[in-house]
Amino acid sequence: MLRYLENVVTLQLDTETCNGCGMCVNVCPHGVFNVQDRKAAIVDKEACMECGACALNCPVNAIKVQSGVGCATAIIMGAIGKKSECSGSCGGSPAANAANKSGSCGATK
Amino acid sequence: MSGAPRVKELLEIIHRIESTHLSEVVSHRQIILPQLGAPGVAAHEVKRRSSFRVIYGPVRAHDIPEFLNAGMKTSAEMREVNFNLSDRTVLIPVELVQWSPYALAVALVLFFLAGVSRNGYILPGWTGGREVLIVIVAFITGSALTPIFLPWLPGRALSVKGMISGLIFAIVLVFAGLIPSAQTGGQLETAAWILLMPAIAAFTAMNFTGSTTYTSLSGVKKEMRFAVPAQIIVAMLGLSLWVTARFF
Repeated sequence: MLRYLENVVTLQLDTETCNGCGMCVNVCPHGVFNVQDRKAAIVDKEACMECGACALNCPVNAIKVQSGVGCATAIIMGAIGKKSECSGSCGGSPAANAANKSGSCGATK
Repeated sequence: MSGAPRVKELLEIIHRIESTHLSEVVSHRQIILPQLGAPGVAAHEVKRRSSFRVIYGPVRAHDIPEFLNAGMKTSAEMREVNFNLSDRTVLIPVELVQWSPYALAVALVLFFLAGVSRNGYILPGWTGGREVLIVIVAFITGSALTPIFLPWLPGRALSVKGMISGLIFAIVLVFAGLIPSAQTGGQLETAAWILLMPAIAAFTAMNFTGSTTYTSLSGVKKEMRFAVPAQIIVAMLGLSLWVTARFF
């Protein structure tokens, strides 16, 4: 199983708000979540690729993640003010792009 | 942060349901979507706005019969995205097509620069061709061989994996005699390519992050913060040595 850099994932789950519907389990392509006792739990945080499907499909908004396509090409193209074939604009899913209209995603932080 | 759903981008499936008059075509109110469409869909919004309940199907189409037999339930295996050899291999042509113009541009520049010497300029023949070949090997190492050998290369950052395969091939080419190593000029040329090949391969391998199914945006940003400056410094050093080697 391929693993990427450690301790970088921005995924957060608010267990208080969670209603245990299990949608996050259904959409996650990396088995990050599990539902135990009608509450979701993050069981494999390091496997998260920040696609954002869980946060988007959580009906009670209990999940937060800084989502986007982790794509070096898109970040470089964004940094030099060009668009990339890799995504609409910079390193992001449509959702992340909307949150980043400036197109300066390489320079965030 | 992508906490609240940005509704505008997520309306596509709802528009499709409306424009195809799906509710008049079928009597039920269920719609099966491929699981990997989920980063662009908010199932509860679809339900609220179109009354259709989204059911996420399996990742791979060949699991559909099993999914249906199980009463439209996916198993953990059906939901899991793999990144095995064939998944990685099919992506290689994309990498090659995307980066080959840049690789060829670099190769051409080195081809013509190879004609520089202390005795002035002569149009390079085989010497220039050899430099072109080395650039192409470095490029293929990063964009094709690194993806193929991904799980077996040490390191987690893709640029580190690319750097290591670039280094291996630089050493191979030195021993194969393609990179000259005799006398001062050869030693400088060897040192130059020992730096340049890993830099080129690290850069192209780093760009494979956009194709993988497991690299996160936060991780790529972190990787690039150390990898890009390192690649630039090493490439500049390598290029200086390479140019110096022309004069010996």
